[in-house]
This record gives sequence, structure tokens and C-alpha cells, in this order.
Amino acid sequence: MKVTKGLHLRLGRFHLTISASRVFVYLLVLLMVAFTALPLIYVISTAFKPLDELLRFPPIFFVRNPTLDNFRDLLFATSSSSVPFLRYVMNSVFVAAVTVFLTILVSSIGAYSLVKLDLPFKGLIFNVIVATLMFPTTLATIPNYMVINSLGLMNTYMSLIIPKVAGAFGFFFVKQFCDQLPDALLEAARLDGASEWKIFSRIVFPFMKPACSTLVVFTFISSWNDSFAPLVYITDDAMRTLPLALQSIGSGATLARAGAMAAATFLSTVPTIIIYTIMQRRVIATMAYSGIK
Amino acid sequence: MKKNLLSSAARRREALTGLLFISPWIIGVCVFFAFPIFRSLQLSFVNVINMTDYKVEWAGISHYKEIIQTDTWYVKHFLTKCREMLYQVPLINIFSIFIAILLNRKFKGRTVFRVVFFLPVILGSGFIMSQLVSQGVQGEAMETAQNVLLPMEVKIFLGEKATKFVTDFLTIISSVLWKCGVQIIIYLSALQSIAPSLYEAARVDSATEWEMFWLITFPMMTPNILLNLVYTVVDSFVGADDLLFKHIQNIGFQNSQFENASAMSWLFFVWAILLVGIIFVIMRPFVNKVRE
Repeated sequence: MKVTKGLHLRLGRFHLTISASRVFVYLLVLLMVAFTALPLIYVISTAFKPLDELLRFPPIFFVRNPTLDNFRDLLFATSSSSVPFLRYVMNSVFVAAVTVFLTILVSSIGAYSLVKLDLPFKGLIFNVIVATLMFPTTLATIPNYMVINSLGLMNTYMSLIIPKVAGAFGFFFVKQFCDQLPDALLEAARLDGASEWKIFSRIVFPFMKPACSTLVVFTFISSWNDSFAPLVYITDDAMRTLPLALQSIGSGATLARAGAMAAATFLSTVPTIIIYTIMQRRVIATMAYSGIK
Repeated sequence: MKKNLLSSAARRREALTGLLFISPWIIGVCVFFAFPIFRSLQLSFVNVINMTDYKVEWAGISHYKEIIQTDTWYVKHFLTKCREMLYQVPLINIFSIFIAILLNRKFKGRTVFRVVFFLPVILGSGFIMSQLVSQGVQGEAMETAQNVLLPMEVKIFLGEKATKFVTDFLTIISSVLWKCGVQIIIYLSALQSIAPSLYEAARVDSATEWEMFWLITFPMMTPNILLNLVYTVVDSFVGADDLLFKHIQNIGFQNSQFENASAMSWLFFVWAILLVGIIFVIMRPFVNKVRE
């Protein structure tokens, strides 16, 4: 890049070269996009391949005669496992939605109280948050299993939701954003006799909406994609979420199933991509405002 | 100021409300994070006699010894991973800064590109990706893609060694690019929070883009670089397709050797903390210079 910029400036007086530099930017970005997006493009293309193209060796990259057979196969023929594919989708939607809702509620209300209320042990709590950011969650997985077990949460949706709600990342993030809320606004509301809950719900929460929408993206992605928790905590097949459904479809492992597998993978990535596309601008803007530095 | 205005009763009520508001989060962190972290550290130093009422006896560092002496698979992959991180962490950050600068320019289709670079985060953290990997879809895709990029004629022309070098290079780049998602966003936001007036002033003084990068962009971004380096280190330990992670989970859940599994994750954590410490020592002079 450094070379590019130098080059660009030396030639930069001419109109033509500005577009040339633009072409260069496009080429560079496209090249890197190629690396990043290839597996997904391959999956999408596989999802639409008819059987004879799936079986071909060496595999072809792009589908020649697209068909919807794989999707039909996925939605109607997976009933052989007695749990329809849509059930898994609904499980995933439910778990992700509740997780997102609770995470946002717990983080935003906690952050508000830490930043703006006269709380004892403020410094200690803040230090704990920063320290927590340094520990990968992997360290806690095994004891977490013991905790879930002894709380009697095994094989419940709660076991997929509750452990994720109190995360340091989301909290830290919302807290940084909350720092910028002007005190005067809260003072005015207090003088008018508003209760703390009212202040939170009417003033603080609307102010924190952008930060919360970013949190929605990250929480949703991590809940939607989590394969570990349902694998360990859920034993009832009908309560499992999409990632595990993908696994059981994939374990059929015959080549014919590869199409259904690709179709399932494609379908299960669509929601996250849509959510991120919608929120993308907000995510970057909040990170800029939240003073993560 | 606020404290003078409020009576002590009102302040106590505020403290109570505050505690009430923050308690769900604190309880959550204690039960599902702080306690488990502490317990896993403890597990790595004890022998569990009875799981149901958690009876343990002190075992010292015997589990660590056992791992290092007998689990050759773990030791080998642990060392590989450590070596990989040494070049991947800087590479990931260089690429992320690079891509963030590209994506920060004004060009058509920017939104689409921003989403594409975030795709790995959407897929990569999840099971979907590990499925793709285990089914060899990524390998297959990469292979077919490389055949498009590097046709047979070119390969023959380059000869075997050069071809291997090029494909290795492409593989490393793609594996690095797959870990850049969050970092790119953080750098993008850093770039957007730099005041445009700085660049305008520099342009008036006829600074080159190259000079502007090193004298404006880079110094303004050092706090984010520090943050991202630390994030990259911590994040490299998480991920369903991570071999070490899988191995540890297998030892823990399938062989029920909770003690060994805990010791393994702590071994890795010590390495990560060491790396973070080194990063802090190296980065500190740069970051301080900006603040002064």
C-alpha cells in the first residue's frame, strides 16, 4: 500500500491518473475479496449444483445448470431424522433472539449504573471488566459445564442463553459509549422527579441505541454460530440449534448429501449476513465514537 | 457537585438502585466467568476424587509435567501454534490496517466490500466454518481457485519448487485474511475519527501520502494498534476450527480428564499473556509519544 500511495501522489496532478489509482484500489480490493469470499462463493455455487455436477471430479467451481433440488431435499427429505429442518431454524431464532434481548438489557442498564450512578466499588468493578477482557472464554468451558450441571440447566434453552448474557466485551463497549452522555441531562430529569428506571428507559437507552445495535450484531453472530454449547448442554435432538443440524446433515457424508449440506450452510449464513449488512455503518460509527482506544 | 446537592438518604438510595441495576451483570460474570476461570486454574493443580461433591486433592504441577512428557501431539501442535502466532499476529494487523485504509477511501461498492471482509467473522467463528474445513470445502475451494489464478501452464513454467512456494504464500495470505474481520472494523473506526483538517493542513504543506501515513495516520492509530494486537492474541485461542481447542475439549469432555484439559488451556494462556506483555513493552514508547 505504501508504494501505491507514493505512486499515486507522484502522478496525482493529472485527472487520468486519479482514475488509474481508483482502478488500482478496485483491483487490490477485489484480489483480497477473492481470498476472503471464495469459500462462501463455493458453498453458494455448490448449493445450486445438480447431482451430476456434485459428483464430478475434480470439482468445478461454478455451477453450470443451477437447480433448487438441494433445497427441496433439505427442507422435505430431512424429516427422516424425525426433526424437520425448520424446527432447528426456530430453535436458533429463539435462542439468538432471547440472548440478544437479555444481553442488551443487562449490559446497558449495568453500564449506565456503573458510569452515571453513585456506585460503591466503582473502580474495582471497572478493573474486573478490563481484566476479564484478557481471558479467553475457552479457559472457562470445562468448569462452566459443571456450573450448568449443578444449576440443573442441562438440556434447557436457558443453558444456551444465560452463560452468554453477562459478557465483558459487550459491557465494556456500551460503557465507553455511555461515558459520553451529558450529566446535565440526567440531573434535569432527576430534578423533575423522574425515577432511575424512567431515566434509564426514556433518556439513557435511546442515547445508547447505536452502541446497542452493534452489540446486537456481535451477540447475534456468536449465538447463531455457537456449536459448542448446544453440543455439550443439549441432549434432546428436537432442542438443538442449526449448527448441530448442519453437523447431522453432514454426517450422512455421502456425496449426494453434500448438496443438501451446502444448501443448509447457505441458508444458515443468510440471516447473519443480512443483519451485518444493515447494521454495518452503525457498527463502524459506534466503534469510532465509543473511544475504544 | 452532584454530591453536595443530594442528601445522604438520596445518595444511599442511588447507590442501592445502582447496585440493583448492575447486579444481573455482576452475578452473571461471577457465576459464568470469574468462578469458572478460578475453578479451571484450581483444576489444573489438583486430582479430582469425587466429581459430584467436588472432592479434590492437591497434585502440584504433576498435570503440567504429564502433558509435557507424554502428550506429544499437544506439545507439537502447541509449539507450532506459538510459532505461527509470532508471524500471524503482526501480519494480521498489517493486512488489517492496509485493508482499512483501502476501505476508507471513497469508491463505489464500498459497503459491499466492507461486508465481504467481515464475512470471516460471520462464518469463521462458527461451526459452519469448521464444517467447511472438515469437509475440505475450503481446501477444495482454495484449490480450484488457485487453479484459476495459477493455470497449469504457469505451474509447469515455474517448476515444482516455485509453484509450491507460490501456493504456500497464497495459503498463508488467505488464512491471515480470514482473521482480519474485527481488526479491520476497529482500524476503520480509528481512521474515521482522525480529523480531516489534519490531512488538509498537511496537504497545504505539500506532504506526500507516504509522509502523511507515518506522521498523521500511524501515530493517531497507535492506541488502536495496541488494542488490536492484544485482541488478535486473545482471539487466536478461540474458534471451533482451532486444532488445539478441539484437542482440549476432547481430552476434557470425551476422556473426562478435566484436570489435564484445564492445565493445557492454562499453558496456552501463559504463552498468550507473555506475548501480550511483550507487545506492551514494544508498543509503550510509541503510544506514550502520542499522548504527550
